[in-house]
Amino acid sequence: MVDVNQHLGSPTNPPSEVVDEDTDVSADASDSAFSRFVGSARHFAKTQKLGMAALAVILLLVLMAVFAGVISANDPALQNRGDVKVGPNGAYWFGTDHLGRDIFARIAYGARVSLTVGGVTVLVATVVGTLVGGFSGYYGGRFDLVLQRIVDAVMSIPVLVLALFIVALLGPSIRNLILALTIVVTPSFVRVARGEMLRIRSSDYVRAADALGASPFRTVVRHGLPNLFAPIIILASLTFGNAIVAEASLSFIGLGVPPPEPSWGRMVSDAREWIRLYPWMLLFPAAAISVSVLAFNLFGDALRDHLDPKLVL
Amino acid sequence: MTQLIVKRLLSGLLALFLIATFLFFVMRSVPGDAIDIQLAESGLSEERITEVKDEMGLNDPILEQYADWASGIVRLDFGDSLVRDESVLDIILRRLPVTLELSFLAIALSLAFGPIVGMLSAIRRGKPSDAILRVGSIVGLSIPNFLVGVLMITYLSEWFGYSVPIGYQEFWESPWVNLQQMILPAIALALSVGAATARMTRSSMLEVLGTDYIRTVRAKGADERMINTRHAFKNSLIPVLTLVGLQFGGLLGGTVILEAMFSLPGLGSQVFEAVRTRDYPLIQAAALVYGAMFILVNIMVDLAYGWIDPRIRAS
Amino acid sequence: MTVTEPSSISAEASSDTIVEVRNLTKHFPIEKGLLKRTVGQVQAVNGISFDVRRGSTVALVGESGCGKTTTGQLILHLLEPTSGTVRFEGRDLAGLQRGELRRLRQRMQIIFQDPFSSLDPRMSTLSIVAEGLEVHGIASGKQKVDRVVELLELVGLSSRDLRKFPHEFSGGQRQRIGIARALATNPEVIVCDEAVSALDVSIQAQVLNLLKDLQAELNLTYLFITHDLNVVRYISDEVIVMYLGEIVEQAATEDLFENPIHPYTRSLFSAVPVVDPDLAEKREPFLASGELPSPSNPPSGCKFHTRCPFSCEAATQQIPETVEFEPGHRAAACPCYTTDGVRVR
Repeated sequence: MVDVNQHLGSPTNPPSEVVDEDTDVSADASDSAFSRFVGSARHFAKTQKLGMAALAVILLLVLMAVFAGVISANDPALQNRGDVKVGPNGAYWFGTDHLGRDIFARIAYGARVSLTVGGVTVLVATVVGTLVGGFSGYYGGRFDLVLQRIVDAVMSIPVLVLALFIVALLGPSIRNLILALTIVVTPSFVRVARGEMLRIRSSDYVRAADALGASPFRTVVRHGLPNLFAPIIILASLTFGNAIVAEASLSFIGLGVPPPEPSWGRMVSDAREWIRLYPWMLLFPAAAISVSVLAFNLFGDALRDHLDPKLVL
Repeated sequence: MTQLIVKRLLSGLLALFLIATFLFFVMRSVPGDAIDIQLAESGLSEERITEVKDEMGLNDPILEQYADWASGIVRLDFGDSLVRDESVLDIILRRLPVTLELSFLAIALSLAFGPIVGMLSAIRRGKPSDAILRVGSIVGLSIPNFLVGVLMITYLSEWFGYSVPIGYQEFWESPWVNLQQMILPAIALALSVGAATARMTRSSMLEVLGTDYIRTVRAKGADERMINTRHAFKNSLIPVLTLVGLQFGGLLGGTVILEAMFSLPGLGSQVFEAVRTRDYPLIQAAALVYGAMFILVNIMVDLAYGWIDPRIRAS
Repeated sequence: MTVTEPSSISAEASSDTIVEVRNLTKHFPIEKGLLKRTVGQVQAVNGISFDVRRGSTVALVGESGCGKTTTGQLILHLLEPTSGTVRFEGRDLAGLQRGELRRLRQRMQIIFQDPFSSLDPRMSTLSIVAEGLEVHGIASGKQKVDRVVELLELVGLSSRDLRKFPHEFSGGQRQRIGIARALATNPEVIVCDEAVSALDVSIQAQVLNLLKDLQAELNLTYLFITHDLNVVRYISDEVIVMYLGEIVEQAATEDLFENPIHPYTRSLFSAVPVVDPDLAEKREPFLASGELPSPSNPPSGCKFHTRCPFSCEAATQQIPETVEFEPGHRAAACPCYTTDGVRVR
């Protein structure tokens, strides 16, 4: 069949006057990037109840981490020899551990550690991964080919094993933990950013920029990177949860955050011996880890439903 | 088909080579070489240290060391353990079967439950049972497996007076004891993989259920159960398989902690110990072996597509 | 009747020729396997030649897959040709330095088919239209905004639309933004790649009128790529019909519509639904049969022979010559007939 279109009814006399064919653009339509964001956020709040709950939990965690010193009366490292293994009460909301340390204070300060590790890791991985993956995907060529192979290779080493290896080499410290986790999670950002950029690169708006004579660099910065936003922010949220798990796991086996800095994973590890008689020692850090990871996963899920339902990460 | 296998194996080998290179340079880029520190802390005499370093070729130029290491790998020679008086290869070969058993048991468990849960969830879309299964699977995905392990060990003995038999027995020595020792860590590992599988099955099955050909089958009057299982379920398995392949890496990482926690003499607990004793050649080789397992499993996943989808088999 | 070689359409392009295409060819390699072996070629465009006069509208028509979009991109040098040349005011685009080419881009622009994918969803109208001004340093600051407002008004939008994003507009309005973007750098040639195909019928007419008005006002030259013959008849001065990467017929619009020569052109025309019953009766029922052959494995001889009702033995072997049947009306001469219409035996 010949696919000739029949769109125009009477092509020789179209209406001679150009009229604005669309008047239904509502008057209250947003007119800036900010109000556009507000509109999108409002829609998110309306449609993603679970995601909003998760966001509330995340904000609560952030507040807890920022104001750890204000909301907890006790020093998290202080060992009250008189108050060892006390159950939850008015003075110690979550009780004390085997050394007489305030579990509530340790949970609050632990949030600071968890969020710092997760936050810095995700931030660095996002920035580095997006830039490297984005430019590599746009320019292609030999560099891209090699990078793709390296990313595949690094991603086939189990996250925890690679992180263990790096931390074992460098010695346990918050900085090394962040470094190790960043090395481990960045490749997935590179992969996602690259894949998206390949899609963007073949779009008409990029071809239009080429036709305007925009340089490749300008095209990546102005058109490519802003359009990577949706998948990357979703990946970032999910990765944040994974980073908290990894931090807790490494701290659990004594290779994460070194004492006296409180860490949820180490608290679980400490609690193992005492768990039968003093279950609160396990309960609170275990809940802190699970709830915060759950919050980031739920939020990431809701973001995906909101921004890009077809995305598979 | 054979061509496909050969192609995948070749690119797998390339990936392994890159992993090996990556691990080598990560190790050598550490400030104040890790092995120097290790040797300095070992209490050996100055002369002995130089000797050991010479034996290990650590005084050669870095590219030469790399070439030595890489050619060693090709011959499956990963050097000797810094701590044990044994070659790394022997240790790995001795320990690997336990890890293989554990991880395949975990995969089997997650495949036994995940897809079915996901299918039920999809069939009952929007009903309370769907909501429960969905929340359940994202919770399962969010609880770190070391936590599941701790909880299982504690509360099984607390509430049921059950404790895992002590002293590892291999499967052919005593299958019953072996399974008891394996099943708990396997469940802990299977939980997150199974949850991820359930989620993927649900969304992929919903997509298949919405397609025209399922509507055709329904219009022809096929009964719902047949539609759900024979047509939709089978066709929604491809993305699920891909996911299982990718999740396998996380599962291998989990074995490190869980083997140590449940005193299973696998590669994972060996890595755990090696990290404590800073036995770098061993960790390095183990990471390579894990990478190889991951790549192999993903090749198997690719081949399994052909079994599920005849179109892929044909091409 | 003179027989001419395609390459000698006019030995010397006349002075009012703005774009000159000679033997333009684009083959896309089909790569396979790990080592990216080339296992075949998609012959998207195969040695086409034509001239575009300044201020005129040339329509490029054919089915999807005939190479017309590739031709448009080759003319703007958005794609590197496999061989052949495109000259803009006599300058070979392939011979230009990268910077020179970029500067030249101000003078030739493109309008895309899909008004949804051709505008960056994360940019405001202002940024989209101003991009050309920024890239070429034509205007900045207040001057830039003024120029964008001027352009928006030119295409029937207003300054209220400056800060809106593409999703807030209808398809027709988006296409107007695309036109404003293309006009920003004061181009002389605009390639309209199916520029109205994605729009509703009533809006198509408005956009076409806008394009016509702009042409008169700004002395624009259009290369109008389309598969819609009604659009062709309405807007173009000259028509080039393409089939499988080659030009099969080329004529002034009136001549072509009155007297289509090539069987493919005739099949295109007979596929156009007409409202006028008299016209419908007069029309020969004539359709190309079968599917478009793969451009990676085109038929031998006359490429149309697999679908042509007049096909004969000769057509499977003999590559048709291009013949000037009337002044300015060229077509690939059917190997099954003499130019006087006698069937070859």
